[in-house]
Amino acid sequence: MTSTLLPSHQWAHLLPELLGRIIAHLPRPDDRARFRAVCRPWHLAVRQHNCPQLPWIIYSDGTFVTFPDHGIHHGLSFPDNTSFIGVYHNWLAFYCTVSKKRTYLLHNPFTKSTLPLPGLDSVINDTSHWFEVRKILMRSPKDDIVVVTTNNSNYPIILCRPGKPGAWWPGRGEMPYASMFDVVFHGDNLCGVTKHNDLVVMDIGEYDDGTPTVKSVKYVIEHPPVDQEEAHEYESDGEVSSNDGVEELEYNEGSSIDEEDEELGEASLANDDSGGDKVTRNKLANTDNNFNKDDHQEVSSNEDGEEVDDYDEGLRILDDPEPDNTILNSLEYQVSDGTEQIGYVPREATDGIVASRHLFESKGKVLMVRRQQYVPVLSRGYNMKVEVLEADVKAGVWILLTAGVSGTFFVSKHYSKHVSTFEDAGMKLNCHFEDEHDVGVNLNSELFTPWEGKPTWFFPQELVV
Amino acid sequence: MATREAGKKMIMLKSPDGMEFEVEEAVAMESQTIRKMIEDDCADTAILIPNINSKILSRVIEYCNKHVPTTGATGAAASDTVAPAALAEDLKIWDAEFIKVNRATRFDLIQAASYLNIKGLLDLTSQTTIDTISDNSLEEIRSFLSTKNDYLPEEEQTIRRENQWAFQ
Repeated sequence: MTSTLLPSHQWAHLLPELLGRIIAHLPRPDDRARFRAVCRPWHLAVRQHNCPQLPWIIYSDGTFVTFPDHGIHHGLSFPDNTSFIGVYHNWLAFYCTVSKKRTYLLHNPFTKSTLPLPGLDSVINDTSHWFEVRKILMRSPKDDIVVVTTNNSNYPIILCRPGKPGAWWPGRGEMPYASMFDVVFHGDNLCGVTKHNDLVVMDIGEYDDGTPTVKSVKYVIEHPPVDQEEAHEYESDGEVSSNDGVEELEYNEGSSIDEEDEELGEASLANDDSGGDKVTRNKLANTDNNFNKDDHQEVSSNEDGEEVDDYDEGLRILDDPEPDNTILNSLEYQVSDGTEQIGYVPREATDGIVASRHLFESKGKVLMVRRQQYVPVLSRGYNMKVEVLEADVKAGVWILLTAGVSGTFFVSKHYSKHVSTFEDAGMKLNCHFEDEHDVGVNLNSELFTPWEGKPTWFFPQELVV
Repeated sequence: MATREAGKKMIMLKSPDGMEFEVEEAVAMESQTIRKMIEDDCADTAILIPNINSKILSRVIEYCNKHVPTTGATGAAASDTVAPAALAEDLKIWDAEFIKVNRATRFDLIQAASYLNIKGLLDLTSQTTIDTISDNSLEEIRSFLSTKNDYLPEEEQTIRRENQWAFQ
């Protein structure tokens, strides 16, 4: 037997199909990088078996799903005693709690490097049950500006630098931050889209101590203040003002849904949205909020009152006696994430139609993916419509892209990215929503539902093969 | 070693070093390769298993004996008295003990599992190898598996540099 003759060489000469099998079960690029460095035959095997790296969907316990095989893997090591909060490309964000105070960090599981975010620690250290970090953005891979958005109206957006204590955040209720539901880096600047689809560009500067700050804000797409008389029409025609006839036609569908919704007499979240520029309210909020909502329902049928309601809401927040550095302990103070219930399905009154919007940067352009999803109460939702709009900065409008968009959109609640190099032949619009891929991850016979485990697209380190 | 029982068809397996193993057909058919031979009527006399010495072949047969479905050849009584979950747990413990072998034997077992196409044994031996590699440093992998580094020093430097982030 060869084993007795060449004991030290044998593993190098494992059958090629066995090497392929082992590589398939080592999806981590760091494992593969070491595997190819073991010996020449293993290097060759990695070359033969390594497919172009597709992003993974990662879960809060370190489980990840690889594509296209939908392989479920475990064992991506997270730092000790941390809770997963999000992803930026190949970085994972965590917090750990020490005597009720949170400290935040970014961690790259492949390089094992860690970037502490002490700037965040001082701002969002004492959090309420409802508090959630929405997104984390890094301007560049190392020691540059980190942007965090949260669902809390006191801290809708926070700018800091890894390893530095300082942080910047806007004043309470300050526009446009209080109504911004998604942000993306566009070059060195930060772009944000508001609930009314205004596109704002934030010029980022820094203080003497290196703490980043927003120097100026410019509206590059701005929708005129809504005329009281037209308020309702504007909402139901779609938030995007465009001269495109197709756009208007498409939104007539939306308007009919809205109207039926009103006939049902159920306050839709879309209307809630229109009422509060600074803060959106949620159905589950406290009694105080319910009172407001009732109020608001009347207001919806009488557009004249809308601004008043908004104003009241704003004042109430500004007058709030809570000290500035407190995370407000109510859903009432949540910032919109751009997701809204735009209607209910006739005859299936409990099934909803939910619209969500996601901002992307691609080759110097700012794009927005808009999704309409039918969400039955008891089963998985499916897409009714997905469309992509491009920001035309010169004309100051969003343009609906009808000819298709190259590349692939990977969309998840906590991290989204457009990748121009991935292309599925024959697909006009290639859009992957994380919840569509969440086929239920079985962990010790526990099934994750899409809203548990924070499924998020994650882009593993690129491997040179 | 399996003994002849009434009503059970026996198969003779032969290793290249001349040893003969008489096994129940159901046990031998755990190997898809042998199953194919039996189904193609190539198993009238002893089946010669090339490349697998008697020491490894006997271990493979031991594995197949344990894993052959209990409702079949090894007696229906077992499945009546033992709950399936407990049985699976028992097999898991047995597997863990079974694979506690030196790396040369493990190497021979994985190659044998592949040649004989025994899925369970292939999964077991592959997973053990994967566990050896995953999350370990290059030096640890080489030492666990006793693989010889056949790179020239400058080649190895290059290959590390290409993915420098994985060697920090």
